[in-house]
Amino acid sequence: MKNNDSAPALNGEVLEDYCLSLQQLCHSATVEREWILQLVEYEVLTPEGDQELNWRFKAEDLARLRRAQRLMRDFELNLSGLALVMQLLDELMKLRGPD
Amino acid sequence: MQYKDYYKTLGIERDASQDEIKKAYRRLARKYHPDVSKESDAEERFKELGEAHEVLKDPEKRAAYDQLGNQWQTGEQFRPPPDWNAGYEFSGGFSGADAAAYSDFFESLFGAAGRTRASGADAGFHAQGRDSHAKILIDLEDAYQGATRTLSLRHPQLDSSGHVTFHERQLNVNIPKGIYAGQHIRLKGQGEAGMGDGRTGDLYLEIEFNPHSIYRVEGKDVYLELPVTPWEAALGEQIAVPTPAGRVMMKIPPGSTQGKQMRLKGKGIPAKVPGDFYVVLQIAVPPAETDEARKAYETLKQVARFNPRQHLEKQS
Repeated sequence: MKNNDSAPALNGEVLEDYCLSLQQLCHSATVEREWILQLVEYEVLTPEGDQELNWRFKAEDLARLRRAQRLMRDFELNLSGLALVMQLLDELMKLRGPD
Repeated sequence: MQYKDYYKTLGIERDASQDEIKKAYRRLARKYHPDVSKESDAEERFKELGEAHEVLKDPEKRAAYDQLGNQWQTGEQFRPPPDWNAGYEFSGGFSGADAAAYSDFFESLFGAAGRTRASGADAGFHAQGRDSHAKILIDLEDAYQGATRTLSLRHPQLDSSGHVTFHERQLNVNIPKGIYAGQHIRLKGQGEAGMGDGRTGDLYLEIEFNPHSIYRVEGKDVYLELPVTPWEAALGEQIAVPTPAGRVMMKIPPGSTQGKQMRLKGKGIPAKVPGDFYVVLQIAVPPAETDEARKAYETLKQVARFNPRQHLEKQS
């Protein structure tokens, strides 16, 4: 990745923590609402807010959602298997450190 | 174009059963899946696995691939024979991996994924374009100073005849100061084009740091392992310490021990609430290579009367 002076650089918006509504998350990740509800049910995603209407997801959940999709597809997991794998991966990443 | 030996990729014999193929794929997928693997070339390997499995798991495709014969070596220059494809009908519908993941070799044999998909927006049909996602690797220093990075993105596009082509475009993006790994930047209107009057989707960039030669990053906090001499740790000293924002003088207090962490508040990543910079002391032992150094150690041994194993002696 080199700097390229030919085109003006774009300014993006940095997403803050807990900024995405259920609808935004569905749209951004191109997934069904039902599927996200299940992921929340199985605590793969843990939004803030007490009910669906005011749920707020983290920007990181976008990456998490895609990881969940890949794992389910590539290992033919069901939801509770996925929840277990995600939990173990979270622990593993904490132990390994960010490197 | 280079020939690919799909059997070798999966580590199986050419006469392997469909069951053995499935098993080999599953075993290697657990090892190389980019979401679970710690191998450095996991992503590349997993793509190759996916492609090999895509062909070999399907008896039709496997038969067609086998028909090429076994005299080819991986990497050898390859051109499909002229009668290739005669008598084989592929039902299309590729599962799993992204279209972009297949090699030229695969596509020359089986066509680009999605080739059969119908294209064209009917008059009056409007749909919002999809959001796209990409990862962007930046250096830790970019998070301290801000930077501009150029990104190459590949978009699959359907041409008028329904073929998938890849359109590459470059994008210059400002990386704001204070950003850290896991955060996302949203670029409005840089995703996939909408249909009809539908609005263009957004592009989400996920930030990731390149591994750094001396610093370790956790969230907004930055860690440095700082080697010190035993006398610096014991007697205390002012030491010049590198940080991504430049050198700072740091006071090592007398009586510091191995692994001691010292915090420079607010010297981590300069986010809205800045992270901290941690120095972790690593006491380095000077070699006793000269008579003088040996003598100095002998003297220290006499004076210090130091037993680091005291707590082990109570155990039987």
